[in-house]
Amino acid sequence: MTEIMAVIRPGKDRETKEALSRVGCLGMTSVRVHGRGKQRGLRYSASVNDSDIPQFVTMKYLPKKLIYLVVNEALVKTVIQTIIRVNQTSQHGDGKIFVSKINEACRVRTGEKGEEVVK
Amino acid sequence: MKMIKAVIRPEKEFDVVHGLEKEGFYSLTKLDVLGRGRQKGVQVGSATYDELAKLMLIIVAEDQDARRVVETIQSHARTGNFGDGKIFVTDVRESFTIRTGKNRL
Repeated sequence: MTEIMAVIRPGKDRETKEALSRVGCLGMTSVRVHGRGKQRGLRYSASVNDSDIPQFVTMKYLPKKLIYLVVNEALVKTVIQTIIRVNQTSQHGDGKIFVSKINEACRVRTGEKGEEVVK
Repeated sequence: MKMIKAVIRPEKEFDVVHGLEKEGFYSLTKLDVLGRGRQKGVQVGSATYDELAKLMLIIVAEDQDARRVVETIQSHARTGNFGDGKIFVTDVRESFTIRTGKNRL
């Protein structure tokens, strides 16, 4: 079993969910988070308080959506490709995907364990 | 690669982030969480706080940098009292940048 954790743009979460359910990955968890990448947030010039002189406005953190899913080994590649396909805008801030191993999973309702749980 | 999840005091956020910045780790994700530790929350007079507000930082770093990230968080988040938080380190097998589709941090 593999955990895929992706930080994506908040506006893309519905599209991502739909695309993932189409490839057979139905369960997921999502959280609203704040974050930043190598660019250290956002910095742009804008007029502040109706003044004519533009000033630099900085946003240290940007709102993002963090999605978690645990899938079987066979689905990992498809899921990663799907997330990349849906979320790619070729601009900074598209997010990251992290893949790590899950040692055990357990379904709370029935108590069953192992690969079956994430099917 | 390692994923470092640190649960810290919300008021220490600036110190920790600034410290990490100085060490060259700019990327992070933060989320507000509620949690408790071994003390089962705090008891102030007759009021019991079961879960306390904390801030969780998620940082992914290369293997050789992980220790440095942990030490930086530790030194900046510490007050010496209960409730300073915990740091968890887990393995990350792969990471992808969505913009480029490349398999690297």
